[in-house]
Amino acid sequence: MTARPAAWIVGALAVALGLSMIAPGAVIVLAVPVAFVGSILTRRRGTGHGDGDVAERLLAAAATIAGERTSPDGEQVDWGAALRAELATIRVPRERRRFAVGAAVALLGRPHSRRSLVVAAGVAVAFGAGLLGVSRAGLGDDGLGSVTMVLPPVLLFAIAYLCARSTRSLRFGLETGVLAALTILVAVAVVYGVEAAHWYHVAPDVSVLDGDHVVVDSTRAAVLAAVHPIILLVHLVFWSPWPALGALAGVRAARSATGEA
Amino acid sequence: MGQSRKPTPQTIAVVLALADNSSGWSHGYHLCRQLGLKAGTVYPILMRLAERGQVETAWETDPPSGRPARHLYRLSGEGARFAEDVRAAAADSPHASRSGGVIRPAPSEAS
Repeated sequence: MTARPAAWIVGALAVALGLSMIAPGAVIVLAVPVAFVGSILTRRRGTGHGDGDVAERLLAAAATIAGERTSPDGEQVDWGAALRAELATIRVPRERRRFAVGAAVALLGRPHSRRSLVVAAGVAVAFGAGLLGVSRAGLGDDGLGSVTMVLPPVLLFAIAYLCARSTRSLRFGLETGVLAALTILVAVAVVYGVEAAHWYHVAPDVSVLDGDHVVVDSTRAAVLAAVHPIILLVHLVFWSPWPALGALAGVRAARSATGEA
Repeated sequence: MGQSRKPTPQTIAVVLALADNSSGWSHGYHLCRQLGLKAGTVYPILMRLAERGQVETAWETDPPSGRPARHLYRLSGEGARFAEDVRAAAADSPHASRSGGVIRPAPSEAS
């Protein structure tokens, strides 16, 4: 168990070192959450089902990710617990492994409802509208980049945390958080494009991204500079740890509230 | 909450196995062995049927010491009607067997 946290820390430091050459803020925004997620995972493994065989551990991991599901009458159904109880009745190791693989497929192969997409789309629309309002109020010294880099991580953490905590499902938190990241990215691209065109006519030498001086000779060039794929990719990289971190924290909070290990 | 698409042979087999269980409640693993199907096939069907209200679920109330309570399954009233429809459709079809012509019982016990 000591090799796992070490691997996480070394990996996170390597990522931080690499990204700090591009953007110093990456150390905080990316590497720290990665290391934190790793330590949470490692602690869970160390105190959870480490005494079980491969089948038990596989099914326990799948059950953790899948969480509970809600039946039509609103009852929470813990299919993970149901399958693990069934596994406990099987004695033959080979049969246990076969059952665990099939059960893990059953748990993980079924997507959650469209709630994830609805939540993600709602958050993206609200964020896009807010970003548009901020832009029209004035770009200030930092442009929109300071907003789009800092605020979405907080939102993504909160969404993933709340979704995971309310359903006790790591998977639902992750799904919703990741979908929210993608839909917010679309909203950011749209607003950047619209606002780059708008600000080109108002102040053609000001970058919508960071408020710095920029040289573009047309509206199209201003838009393309604002929604450059590298810029969007950097956003996504900076945001990516937060859905995982929020979902993990949400599941742990839900389990702590009920006294579960 | 009705069946919107034609049920698969595996779904038919699970529904009829539940309907034929005179003792009422069934275990998921027992269904897997009885029908010769993998857990990755049977459990998604049970989950879907439960979500549609065609299968009722419950936990064992008095499990033996040393193992957790098992999850139990049986057809609801709506599920029983669905089973009757499936059985009638199978009887009407000249090529259909009890299990839809696909599912065979497992040859041996595994544990």
